[in-house]
Amino acid sequence: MNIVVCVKPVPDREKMYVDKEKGVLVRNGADMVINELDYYALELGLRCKDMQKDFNVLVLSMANHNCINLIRSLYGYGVDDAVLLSDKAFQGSDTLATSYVLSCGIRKIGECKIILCGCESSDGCTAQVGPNLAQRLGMKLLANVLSIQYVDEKKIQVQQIDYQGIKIVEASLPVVITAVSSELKIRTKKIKFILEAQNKDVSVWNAQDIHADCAQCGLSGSATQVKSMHVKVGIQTGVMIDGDQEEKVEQFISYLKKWKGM
Amino acid sequence: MEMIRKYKPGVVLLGSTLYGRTIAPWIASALKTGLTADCIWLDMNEGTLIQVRPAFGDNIEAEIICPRRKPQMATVRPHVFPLAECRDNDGTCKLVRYDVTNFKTDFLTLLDRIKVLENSQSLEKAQIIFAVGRGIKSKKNLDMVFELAVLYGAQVGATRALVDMGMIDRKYQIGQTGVTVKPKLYIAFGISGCIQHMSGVLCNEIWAVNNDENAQIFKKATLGCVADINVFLPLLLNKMKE
Ligand SMILES: Cc1cc2nc3c(=O)[nH]c(=O)nc-3n(C[C@H](O)[C@H](O)[C@H](O)COP(=O)(O)OP(=O)(O)OC[C@H]3O[C@@H](n4cnc5c(N)ncnc54)[C@H](O)[C@@H]3O)c2cc1C
Repeated sequence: MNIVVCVKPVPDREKMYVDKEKGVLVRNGADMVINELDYYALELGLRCKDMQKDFNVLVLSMANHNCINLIRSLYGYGVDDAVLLSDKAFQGSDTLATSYVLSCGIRKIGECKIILCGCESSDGCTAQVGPNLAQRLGMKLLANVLSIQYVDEKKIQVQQIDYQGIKIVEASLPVVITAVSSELKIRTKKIKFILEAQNKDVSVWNAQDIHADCAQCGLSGSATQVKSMHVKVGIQTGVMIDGDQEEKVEQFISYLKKWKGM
Repeated sequence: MEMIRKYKPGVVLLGSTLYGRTIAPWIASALKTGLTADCIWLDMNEGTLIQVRPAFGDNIEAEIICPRRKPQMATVRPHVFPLAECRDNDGTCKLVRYDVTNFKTDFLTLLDRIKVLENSQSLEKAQIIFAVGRGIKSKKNLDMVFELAVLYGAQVGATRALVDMGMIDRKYQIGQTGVTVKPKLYIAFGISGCIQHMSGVLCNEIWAVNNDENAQIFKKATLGCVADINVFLPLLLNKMKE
């Protein structure tokens, strides 16, 4: 049985900044990294495998071909297979088109009963791909999952966040799970896996390989359009309190008092 | 889904809450239409819904449209618009009642509840918030902030980083994946000012205490103080008590 973990390469936010004078986002040479929450999804997938040794964990990513080494590096965590979906036709996909492409990839992989993704990406922040995938694949959705307590061929028990707190639920497979950040400790890479990875390849599939209808991919498959982007201007730095420790605290308190009209 | 198929609305809006953010994309996918997440402003222009949302972090806003498909769907951040008054059939809106008793899920069994959130409404409605981040470091400092909050009549909020460390309960989390707050005064102790946190803070009076003079939070703050929390907090608490 296959467990598919969907991962997204995103620009490293630390290295991006807004040039306020020019009003543009500078992404210069920002390295691509794996979206933070996808590591939680990966960890959940690997924990399923810890519990059921014969499960197969695959990572699946739709990305530019030059992300191949980033995807390959995930073998270091102990995943069994890695697949990169890459085609010019996929470029410019919004969440609707992205989930279409991913669902085609998942259908090709076959025998997937658990699909995991990070709840959202750090660059898009929409949290849409997981629920979209569940709908497209006709699978049930477990959103905002913190941890997995039990899994077998037929069912899974997870800790899930909802608006009332945290609950433990049991669901029958197949399911799509979206992972949120938690106290879960994410494992580090193992030398053994890193060495093994040297002989492993990342499968690269294009639109044809996954039988994707190009009209549903990329820009033509996208429903939403970005009409414009603008940088909010006019935000200036406020007053900074000066002085030694004592003076700073004194001043801070006088501001507090002033504010409350005390 | 049934209602949308029946009434064929031009626009479908849902709240950008934990639940809304989960079901909206499912619906959009089933209808093969577009969905814009976390809108902070909406406008109608000749039948086109202009959807404004934050993008790529700091200070950028994107206008998104869904020109070719219907319905145009968006989730909207809680509290970005004032509550509308809607009376049934007053000419501006019509309330439709729909029987949902026949819908149920059968794939899911609730086994247990391990944590029940107390109502986070006190945070959503708070006028003054003392927010704490990873810079707080110790339980002792955290307790001091709670004490200060009581003295000053404030509520305590937190960043996700601190919640994830297990230092404070999730109900205190402010931000994109937490509560959206609208206080009159918001004071950040040891918070870097990441967009995912700050997007949940709708406030014109932001004060910040941080030991890193280059922290992003100072760019947004109306009042800033470069100081080490470990020294600043005990002094502040002592003086406030006087
Ligand atoms: C998809 C996604 C969703 C997210 N949703 C949320 C959300 O809803 N809410 C949220 O809060 N975050 C959210 N985050 C996380 C967010 O990006 C930041 O990681 C987080 O807000 C940072 O919290 P922080 O400021 O406490 O920690 P840090 O960024 O680590 O900042 C700590 C600050 O404390 C200062 N400091 C350290 N020591 C001291 C000291 N002794 N005295 C004074 N200052 C000190 C440091 O200078 C630093 O500026 C999300 C992230 C992602 C990717």
